[in-house]
Amino acid sequence: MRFSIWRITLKVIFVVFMLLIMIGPLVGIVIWSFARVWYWPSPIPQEFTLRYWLEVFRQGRVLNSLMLSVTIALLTVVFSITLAIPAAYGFARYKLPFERVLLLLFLMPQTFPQLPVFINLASIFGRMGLRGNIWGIILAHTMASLVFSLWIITATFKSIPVELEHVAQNLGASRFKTFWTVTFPLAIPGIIAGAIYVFLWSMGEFTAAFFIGAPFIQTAPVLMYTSSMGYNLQIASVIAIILVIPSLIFMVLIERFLKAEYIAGLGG
Amino acid sequence: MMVVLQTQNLCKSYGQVKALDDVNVYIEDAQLLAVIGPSGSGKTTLLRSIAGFVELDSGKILIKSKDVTNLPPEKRNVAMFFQNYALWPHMTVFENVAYGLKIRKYDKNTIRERVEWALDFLDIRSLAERKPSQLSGGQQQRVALARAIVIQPDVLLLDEPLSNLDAKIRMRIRFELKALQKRLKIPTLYVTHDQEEALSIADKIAIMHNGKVLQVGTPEEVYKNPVDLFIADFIGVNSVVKVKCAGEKLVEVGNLKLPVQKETVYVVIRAEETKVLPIQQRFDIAEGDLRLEGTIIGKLYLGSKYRYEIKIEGVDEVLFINSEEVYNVNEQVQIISRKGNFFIYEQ
Amino acid sequence: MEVRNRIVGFLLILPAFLILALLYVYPLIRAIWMSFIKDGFLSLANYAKAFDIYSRDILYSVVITSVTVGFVLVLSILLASYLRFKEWRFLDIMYRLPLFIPFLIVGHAMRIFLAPHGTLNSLLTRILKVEELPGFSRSWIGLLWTFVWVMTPYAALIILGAFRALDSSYIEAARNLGASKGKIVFTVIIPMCKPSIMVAAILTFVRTISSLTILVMIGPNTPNMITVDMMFRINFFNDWGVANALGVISYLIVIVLAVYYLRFMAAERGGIKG
Ligand SMILES: Nc1ncnc2c1ncn2[C@@H]1O[C@H](COP(=O)(O)OP(=O)(O)O)[C@@H](O)[C@H]1O
Ligand SMILES: [Mg+2]
Repeated sequence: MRFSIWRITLKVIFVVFMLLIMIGPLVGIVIWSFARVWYWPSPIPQEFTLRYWLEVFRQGRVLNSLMLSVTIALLTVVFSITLAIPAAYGFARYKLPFERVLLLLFLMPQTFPQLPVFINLASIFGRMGLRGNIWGIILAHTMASLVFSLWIITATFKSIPVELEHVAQNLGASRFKTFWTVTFPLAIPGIIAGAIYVFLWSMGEFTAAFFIGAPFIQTAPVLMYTSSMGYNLQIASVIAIILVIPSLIFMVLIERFLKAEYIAGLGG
Repeated sequence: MMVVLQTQNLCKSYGQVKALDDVNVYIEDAQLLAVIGPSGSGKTTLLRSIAGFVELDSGKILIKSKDVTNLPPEKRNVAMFFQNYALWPHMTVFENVAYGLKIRKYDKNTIRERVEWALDFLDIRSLAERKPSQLSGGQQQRVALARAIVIQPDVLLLDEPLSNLDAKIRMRIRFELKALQKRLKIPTLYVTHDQEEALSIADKIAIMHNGKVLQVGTPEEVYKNPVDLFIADFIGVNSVVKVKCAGEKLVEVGNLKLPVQKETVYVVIRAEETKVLPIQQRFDIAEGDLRLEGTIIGKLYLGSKYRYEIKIEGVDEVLFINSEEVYNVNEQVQIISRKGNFFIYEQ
Repeated sequence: MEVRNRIVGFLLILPAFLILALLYVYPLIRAIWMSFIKDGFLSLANYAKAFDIYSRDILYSVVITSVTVGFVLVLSILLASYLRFKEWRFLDIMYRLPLFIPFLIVGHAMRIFLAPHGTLNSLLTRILKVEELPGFSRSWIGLLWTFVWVMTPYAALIILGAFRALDSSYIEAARNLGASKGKIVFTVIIPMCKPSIMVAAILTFVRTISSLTILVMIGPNTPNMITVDMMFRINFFNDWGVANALGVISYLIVIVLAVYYLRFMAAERGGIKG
């Protein structure tokens, strides 16, 4: 029964099918990133080239936009995490006034359509001179990523037994001292996870970067979009791969801790 | 006599741990077989393998002479009672009990009749439309039982059914359960780590240790004739004394001189059946009775009696024995255990 | 002490609160406000125009999104049921792959994969030995495919989480009474995990209807979903009023759903407690 030929055949077919539909699209972009000439109906390009990959390392559009994205993502991480740590501690340990309203507010950006907010933010920033400026994008990214950095870190704080803090306070440490010497060190893994998460999200974010960065700022996803629209599929594919690889590595690393609430925001 | 359930040479290992090691037990007619043993001895694994939730390494399970070893759980007509009751919270009591009948595709009227019979049987008819969260623990337990018996299973499997209840209720339910099992005439396998519970309700007892069944017998048999040291110690309330062989293949324990083959002798003394007397008091001891002399080194007040901690000259272990008499610490006493109330094993 | 505690707590969240208030709540209110402003006056003209031009697109958005939710739910429940009963690392990893790929890249990859001369067709034509196959990359089929591809893992993660959190004894009790695995899924697991399934459905709905990136990469040119209409209104017509009206309409759709959800949860809780 268990080793029947039917079952094995079915399983093989299913595995092939899964590989095709899940990995297939990614294989497509990898092949395109090396394609120089590719005419239908050849299954692979007629000519391969490393030209588009080399362009990444040469001074130019691709490198510039990648560097820009990294800069924006790093600053976003700094702001987002700095704001999230005290707020997360507040949510985890204090009774707050209007707690339900606050909770709702801090969940809304990820559970409510974002686009109207981003376009109005673009219009507001436009009048303040923040449109077409990387600070505008950083602010928008900080706002949007705050929600999930906050929830990841809140979960981390909540998982630390409150008794550990009581012991320190009992021994005479102030609340601040307690946080700094007990809670914070224990929360570092969670904070790092949150930071990586925010970084990856910001690197791949398109909508805010597109509306607020326009027309001068081209982050990597925006450049990818314009390349793809202009049928420069090779450049688009190279950028896509560069953006995807860190995410996949991160996925493997945190696979064990993967919880639904952590990835509410990914994708964008 | 008809054998309803029989396991043959069941083996199951989890890594290095042998959870079942060549287990053979059987249930005849409407007997209640209690499986006892300390925690981790493989009782749950045995029960779950009969229900089909454990994939065995080897061995066979026969139910009504039919080999069910390779049947999935849903194809075996055995009913299991879960420790946490596992009542589905989204169904009413009626729906919970009717579930197994619906699966068996009985018509509506038959289902209604049989569910009502089961609810009446357990005296919970009035709860039929409630949800499990609206029931007390005891009521939930009855619903779980009703759900198990309504399908008229070939065997009923109970895994520590009383462990969630507090001590007083446990006593009462114990007898109710036994009465219910006798009225239903349903072959039952009852797992517990509480030897007292097993002695009081079982027709037969199987004692497990490290995945092995060490002895199977009626409660009297296992109490009176435990086949090895572990069983003697596990059943009842006992004190164990370890005596090293002095040489010459002879061991002296109190008044007894025993010829032995091995190094060490263990004496298991049933604490409930042992007397503690003042050292001077004359007492006729018959052939084969055990008499020890010792000193009281501690005592605990237990209400109706005392528990004494008694040190015996030349023996490392101290004895714990209950007595209604009053002694003081450091007082010399003699300990008398009649033949049959203590057991001697060599090892 | 109690009051002091509350003040300290509020001060801790204040910076984050301010950022959200300024950069989220203010634009949100502005979106609603601007949707009622036409040429400097308060009016419903933007809505009239939005419905006039885009009623078909609004309907299309709702339909595509609902169909997506339907497929996603069926697939993720199947997946979660399978993985609840059987460990299979291959499947466990495969289904989660899309979780970490930004939407834009998914859109690009699918464009290449599903194009008339794309990776999929170049394989299929070879297997089926035909000359040409239609591509799906700029059709509703491709769009649906991509949405399902990208949304299923998230829904499945939530649902599988709930399925796995369900105590095994509930499932074993049903098997013990003779229920097959399929029967157990429908009579025990799904009813007991209904709240999580609802959450998955609603989150999928919101994420789908508010997605822009996938649409600009792979969506059909017409009809369009409202997010794309909003983008066009701004980029080509500089018409913020209608764009905001469309935004508010998408909010309303989501709010209707949220209310329904809250009602459902209240009923669920009421049902159990009586
Ligand atoms: N699913 C399992 N995986 C690994 N080890 C198990 C599993 N189930 C039982 N065991 C081991 O098998 C032994 C017997 O367990 P069990 O049958 O639960 O004992 P009991 O019910 O008598 O307490 C224990 O050592 C336990 O740790
Ligand atoms: Mg057990």
